[in-house]
Amino acid sequence: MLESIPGDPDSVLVLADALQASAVRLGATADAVRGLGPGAVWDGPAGTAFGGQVAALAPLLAAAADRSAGSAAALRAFAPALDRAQAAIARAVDQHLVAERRYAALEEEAYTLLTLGRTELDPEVIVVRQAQCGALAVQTDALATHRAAVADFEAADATCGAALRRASADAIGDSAAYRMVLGASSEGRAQDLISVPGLLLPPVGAAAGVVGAGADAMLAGFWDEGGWDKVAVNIALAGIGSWGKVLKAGALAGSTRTVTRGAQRTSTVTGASMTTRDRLRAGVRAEVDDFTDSLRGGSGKPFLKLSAGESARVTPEFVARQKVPWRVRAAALPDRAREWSRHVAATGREKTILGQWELASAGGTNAKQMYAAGVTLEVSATVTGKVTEQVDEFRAEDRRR
Amino acid sequence: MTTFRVDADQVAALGAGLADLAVALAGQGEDARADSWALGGGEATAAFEVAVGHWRHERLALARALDSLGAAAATAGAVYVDTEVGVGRSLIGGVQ
Repeated sequence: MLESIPGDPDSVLVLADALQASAVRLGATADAVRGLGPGAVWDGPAGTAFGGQVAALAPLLAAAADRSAGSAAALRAFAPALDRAQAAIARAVDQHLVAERRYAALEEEAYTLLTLGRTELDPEVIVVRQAQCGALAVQTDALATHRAAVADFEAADATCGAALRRASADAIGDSAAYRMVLGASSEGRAQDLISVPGLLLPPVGAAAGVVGAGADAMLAGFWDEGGWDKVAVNIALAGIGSWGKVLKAGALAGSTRTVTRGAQRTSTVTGASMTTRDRLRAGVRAEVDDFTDSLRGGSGKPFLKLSAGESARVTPEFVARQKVPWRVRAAALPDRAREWSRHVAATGREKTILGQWELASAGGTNAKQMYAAGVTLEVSATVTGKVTEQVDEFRAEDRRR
Repeated sequence: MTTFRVDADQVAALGAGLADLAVALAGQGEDARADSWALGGGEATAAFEVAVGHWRHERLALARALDSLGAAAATAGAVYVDTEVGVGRSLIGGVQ
């Protein structure tokens, strides 16, 4: 069976139209922005300030417009070639199939004649054999047509690829590290995270949902995309506790525990100026160390203890299928997890949470948010507010003592 | 002394335009990998993903910047329009 070429020329033209429309819009905005010179439409202190900020975007807008226009042109030229190649290949496939069937039918005919006592030299059998040769010739023609169409497609494909690469050869583009983390976020490719140089290590053998959730945390922390609450909920729903520990360890990085001297309690913090990137890196290192220890004989128990039915329901695949807002997803958390959260609160972890919260607070707002997200993950609560509320309760109780 | 010369409608329109563009830009290319299937799975497919998808971070940053500038311009434009209308009414004795 001859292979066909995937793809859809009509969809390629739709993409080209969308890119062209985007190019026109970006270009028009770049022109409008350039036209905001002194006194053009908005003269005054506010206009000057605004014009200055917007003018800085003009080169980026122009580059994006050029990229879109170049890509649109490449696709527009490629679509007819893809259409021709697919049509030629479809004809060749059809021709080949018909000839193949014809040859098989003739073979049946020849077999019948031979079983009736005819020989290969008999005129009737010779006619059948000649017809078979004709069918083979048609198959050969179909193969040649197919090869030529594939070659035409490959040439058009290479030309389009080169044109798209030329269109993309500009100053805009994401870093390789960002793209790898983004890839891991959307597809859960553990290998991609491992290959980000000097950045992080996912838990060994992590499932797709775990890696995706970890990558979400990286995108939120390093590139300011998404919020800690979203990251926390995504990871919690994936049934993972370890990323909560990463965030907590990162939030506490550079801090030492509270020291009590008489009535005086002091916290020593050396990492108040640590960036989120530094904190995440430190958190990942701590978690990897912990994970390595667990391989050497530690407990390594999963944090969420769900029943068999619940565990089966809250899988990464389950989460991935839920195209609903995170609040709705959070509401789907098993009651068992909430019960367990209450159990944790009632069995003496208050002191730890309060002490760590104080240390995280000394590390700055970001460290506090990070810590809250980490605890949120661990106790399966769904919003940062709940954790702060919990800490406030602990603090009040602490004062009473 | 500070002087102002403003085409208020144009400033407001520019603000709305920037905000619209920000929304369009934020969504553009998010499905690059799925869309690239249409190109047949060869060299062009990979190059398309790079051209459309590999400036996501820059694109989102640009969208955020356009959005905030658009909001600023739209607000300022509306204020200038209101001021103009108000001053116009007061000069001809109208009620504000």
